[in-house]
Amino acid sequence: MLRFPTTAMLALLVLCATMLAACGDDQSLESARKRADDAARQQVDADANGQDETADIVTPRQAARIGRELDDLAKAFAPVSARINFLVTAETLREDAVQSDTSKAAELERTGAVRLEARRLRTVLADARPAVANVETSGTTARNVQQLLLAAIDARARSLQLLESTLDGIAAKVGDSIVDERFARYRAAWEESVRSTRDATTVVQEERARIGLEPALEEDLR
Amino acid sequence: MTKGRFSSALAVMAIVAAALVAAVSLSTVDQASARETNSPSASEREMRRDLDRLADAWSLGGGRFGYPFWEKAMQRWRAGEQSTAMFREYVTGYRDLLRAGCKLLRATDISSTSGRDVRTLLVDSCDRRLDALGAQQQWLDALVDKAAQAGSRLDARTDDEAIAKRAQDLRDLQEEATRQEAKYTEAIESSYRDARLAMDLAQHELDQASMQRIPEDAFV
Repeated sequence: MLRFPTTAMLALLVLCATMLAACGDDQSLESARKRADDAARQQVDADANGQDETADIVTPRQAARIGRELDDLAKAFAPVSARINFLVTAETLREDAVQSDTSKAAELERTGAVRLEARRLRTVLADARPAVANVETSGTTARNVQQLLLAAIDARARSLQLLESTLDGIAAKVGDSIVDERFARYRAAWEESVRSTRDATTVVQEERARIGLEPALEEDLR
Repeated sequence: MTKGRFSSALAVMAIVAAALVAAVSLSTVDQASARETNSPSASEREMRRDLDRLADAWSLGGGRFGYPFWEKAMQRWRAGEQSTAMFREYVTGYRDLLRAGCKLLRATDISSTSGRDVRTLLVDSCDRRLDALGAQQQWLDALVDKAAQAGSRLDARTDDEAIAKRAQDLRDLQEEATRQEAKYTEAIESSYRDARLAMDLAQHELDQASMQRIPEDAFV
């Protein structure tokens, strides 16, 4: 009788220790960051198609040059990043469109607002593309970032086209399923664009860390 | 400890160890067989569920109903289209939403290792964002106070000492604003960075498992 509680307590202790060890994974922010960094590095290496500059040791002058090129790219892309909130307008429209209790009049009013925003964003994209393309890049990393940003601009322009086709569909009352499908295609293109900017940010931050520069603002490329 | 008790403890430890080994091997067998059939394993499906739960928690906790409005209000404030006092209301609203959001993230039921790592990053991102919003409130408070002080009238009866004191108060408020702005910037950059790393990790893990990615703006 006396031995049973002791055994049970021991078992409980062992179980608690096991559970604590499992929870320990959750506690370590640094290990999570490291895993994320490794994951990002693998992705970046894959995107760069094996062009590896990371093994090189850079002089302060080279570091300054790379930093300047990355800054120039961010500056050229800044007007696009500043209009990231376009997504809020578009998403509000999508929610209105899928909610049955939104009146048609309200939906059409919202459609007009989105068209106006879309037109502004298209102008911004049209201006930003040559600005990004014309930035002089001498190294692999800056060229990689430049390609990612151009891809982001192209995907965003494509998503605008698809969104306008959705708006046409709403105005022409083509039916909910067609509107939903067009929304999904617009959304996929938008996501492609956001992925490119996220990858570009990861490349920029890794490169700056590697060459000993301060991190760039995270919201520079969105 | 008596010999009997020691043997009981050893036996219990052996049982627990055996159970752990069995769980690990079952998971490995499951992954291997899933790879052969090219369909996600149970653990991969579990990870997917975890990431979806985290995306929902982040969205409900402020990503969908707080962040975009705060961000847009900040743009308008910077452009001079919105008053500092009004923008402060947006900051407070977002902060209140996010407080509950951070709790929600912590309470999200997660079982996979990848899910736990993503949650760790998101929880830190959420906490740092709360720090940032707290600093931003103080920064805005200092700006509002400074504007009020600067707007107060001086008349002929105001003595030199009072004038000098007001000038000093204005300088102090500006210094406070600058200090809080720096704290805000440092915290928000850390928050954005962790959110991006969480996204990097989540999408990478899903790619590895050949599963569909979660939306790119899941952790904004």
